[in-house]
Amino acid sequence: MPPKVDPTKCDGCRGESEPLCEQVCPGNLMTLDKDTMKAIIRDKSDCWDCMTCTKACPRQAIQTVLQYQLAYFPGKLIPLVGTNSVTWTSIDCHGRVERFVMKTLVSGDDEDED
Amino acid sequence: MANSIGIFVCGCRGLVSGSIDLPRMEAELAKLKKSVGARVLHPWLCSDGGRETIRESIVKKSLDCIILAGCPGNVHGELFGGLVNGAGLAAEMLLRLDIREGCAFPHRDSPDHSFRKAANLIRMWTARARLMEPFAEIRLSGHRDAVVAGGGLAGLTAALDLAEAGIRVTLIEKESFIGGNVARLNKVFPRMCDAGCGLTYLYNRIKDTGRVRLLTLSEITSLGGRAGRYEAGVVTRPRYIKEGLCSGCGRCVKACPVEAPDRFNYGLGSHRAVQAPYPMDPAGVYLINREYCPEGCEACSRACPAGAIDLTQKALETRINFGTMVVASGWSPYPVERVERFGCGVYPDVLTNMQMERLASESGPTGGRIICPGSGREARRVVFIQCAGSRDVWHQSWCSSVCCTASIKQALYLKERDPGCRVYIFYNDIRTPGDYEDLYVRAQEAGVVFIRTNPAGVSADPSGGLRITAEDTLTGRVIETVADLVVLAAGMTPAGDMMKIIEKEVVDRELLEKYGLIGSSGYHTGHRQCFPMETAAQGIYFAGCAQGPMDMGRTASSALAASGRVLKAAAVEVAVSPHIAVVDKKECDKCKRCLEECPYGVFHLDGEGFPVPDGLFCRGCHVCVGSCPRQCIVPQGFGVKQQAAMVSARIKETAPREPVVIAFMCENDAYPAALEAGRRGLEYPPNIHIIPVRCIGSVNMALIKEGISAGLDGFLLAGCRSGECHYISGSDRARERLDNLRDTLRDMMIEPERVEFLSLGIGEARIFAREAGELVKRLREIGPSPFKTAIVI
Repeated sequence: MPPKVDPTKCDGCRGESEPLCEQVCPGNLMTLDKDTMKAIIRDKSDCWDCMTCTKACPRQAIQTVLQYQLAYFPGKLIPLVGTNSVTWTSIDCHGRVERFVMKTLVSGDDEDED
Repeated sequence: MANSIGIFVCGCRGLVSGSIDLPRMEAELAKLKKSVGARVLHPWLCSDGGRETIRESIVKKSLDCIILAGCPGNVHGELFGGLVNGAGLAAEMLLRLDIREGCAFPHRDSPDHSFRKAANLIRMWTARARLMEPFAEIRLSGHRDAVVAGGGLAGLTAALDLAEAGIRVTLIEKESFIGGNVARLNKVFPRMCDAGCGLTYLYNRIKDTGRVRLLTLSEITSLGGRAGRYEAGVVTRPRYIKEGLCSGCGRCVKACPVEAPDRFNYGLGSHRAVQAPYPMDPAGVYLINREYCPEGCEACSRACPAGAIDLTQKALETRINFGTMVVASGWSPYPVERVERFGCGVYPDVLTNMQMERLASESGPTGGRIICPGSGREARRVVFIQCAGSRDVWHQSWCSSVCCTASIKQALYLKERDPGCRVYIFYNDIRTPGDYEDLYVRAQEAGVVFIRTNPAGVSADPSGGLRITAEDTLTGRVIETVADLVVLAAGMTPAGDMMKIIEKEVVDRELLEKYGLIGSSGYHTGHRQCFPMETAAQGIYFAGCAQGPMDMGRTASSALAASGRVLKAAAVEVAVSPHIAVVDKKECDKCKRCLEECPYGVFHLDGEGFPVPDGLFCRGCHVCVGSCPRQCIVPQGFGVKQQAAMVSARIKETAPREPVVIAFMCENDAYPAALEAGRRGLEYPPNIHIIPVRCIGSVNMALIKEGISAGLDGFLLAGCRSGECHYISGSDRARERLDNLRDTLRDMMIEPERVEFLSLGIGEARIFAREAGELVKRLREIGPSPFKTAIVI
């Protein structure tokens, strides 16, 4: 299921012709609605939930809604991109929460003892 | 990358060692392995012996980065800076870590916590030191082209100053003459000299420089580009007279059938549609005011013996590229006919103060005799009405600061010519700041009568004069007086469309208003104390009465101040601050968010579409660093990379199950407040690990996300109060970003209260201590971060 843009948070990357979500979307599905100057998805059915836009949005304005066959409300899968890691919070339909951390960069401090 | 870091921990003669157990620290330091070349514990590092220890270690162990853990960075800055420099290290390779005000003092009652916090901080600073590199010097070539908009006193002063410094200046003046309103003054207070003399001197020196291109009859109609790379569209109106051919014989004027109001004399009197040049017209040839010409009339053209008249000339549009601009668009008198009760525009003998100036001038319509335009009599009774439309909510709310002195000056003109002349000044409050008070006294001594009143109205008197009705607010009596002439003190109102163009094309008016950079009056006042002369994007500076009403002395000073701002970025080669923003093009995906969030608009796009900051104007606030979703703005010294290393430096709990909090604090207001809290010994929880940053707007949200993923329990972002940020919008940006992040955290079932934004004034130590305490208390109630138990893949 497609990304959902929160219009109160999205600022259309301030009216730039291409907001960041449009630039990063591998399917070129995101675009700027010229009337509202907010990001919208052109075709929801083509989205394959890669979540690139969700991760990239500098205003935290995009959520990816899960397909209800996978998890109906309140199921969620939320990425959080840090500087050296990405975390995933998975909330299933019963509200159970699981969290995963993936290191993307190994810092140079690993030789220090804890 | 520092490969041999020296960690020096100072006992500060008991101030630190009294609450932090230094011998125990030795074991902690021993745990830091990578790239650490020396670990020294010393009781008193700023003593002769301590300094020698540092110097010796640097040389013997060839250290390339030093961490001094002890007093805060503003203490002994010179002492340690000089020492490190002397030992061959760059000043930026000395990292100061405050464990005195930031650790030993506020937590002196809990030595164990205090010790652990100090150990954490040293660990964080070591992680930062590993990524430090000496600054490379950045030299850029300056912007050698400037535009000065407005050829009045401010514009001429700025243009001369810039041209003398070797800058190529385009001076744009909308009228056919230079000097603006000043050119039309009879005398200048307080010396009562002639304004034309100073202007002529200025203009002659401008010509001497040979670097000023003067465009009269020209106006800027559009303005585009960004700091350092502006482009203006300029429209030059035609004179309809060929400059090389006109000999000034004046036959065209005799032939011209229509009258046009005399702009130079503020509509007092008139001339023909074709006119002789006004005084201070640099071209010095005749000029046709085409808007008054009857259709198809070619009388002047037929009369001209030299064939100099060309009625088909067209307006010329040019585009000018420049780096910096001084806006000196000046003022125009408030249209006092709007104050209907004073009868300006109804009775010809009601004049404005500028018209009075022309009437008194020898080059004016009456040759300097004060003749009432309506009755034609010599004025023997004159009433000045102050604040006509000024300090009035229905007209303009502000005081123009010069009208009182100007009216007193004009009263003195009258008294000097004819001591028998009766002169009354009806005032609300006389405002003669500084030594202009002397003029006030002089006028009183000369017999000028001052009456405190705001007159009810001016009407025609059967005697042929004007009847003024007023209530003397000091005695409470109603007075009626008859005068030959009424002079209204019209205040100053911003002139021209330059402001509108800037607000439309360079900086949003909304933003200017939000941060108080523009007065309610529409004047670009800017931040008068911290960043005077500037309000719009960088490279555009305001001078003279475009900034606010001011007298000639202040106008000239402000023009010099504005040109000083231009010169800062105008040297042939400028060594700029090493802290300027640098975009890593390998990582950048051209999203242009930095363009939008830069409070100074210093970014432009290069040929390939990458954003590039203009280093000459970059303030180094690093708000762009905080905004970049790719974290690819990498200033030298302290950027996201170093901060991320500090956040993920495996900070440990200061006591079991105690929350770990990182506080990013703006080094201008919030951090000094925290230091002050430490200095005063105000207690706040040792859980707070403070990282001072240049502006709270420079904190990238990825750092907080990283910290949360790493299991840190809370974050505190402390910046200036909204509207007081040294970098205009930095503090508000940080708050906005944090609010957005908070919503995501809520979705993730993480308590949004874990991250908090705090606005602090520089003296608000108590508030900091209180809020920090409350945050930690709240975090204890919430419990440890769920990411402490997350599955690491």
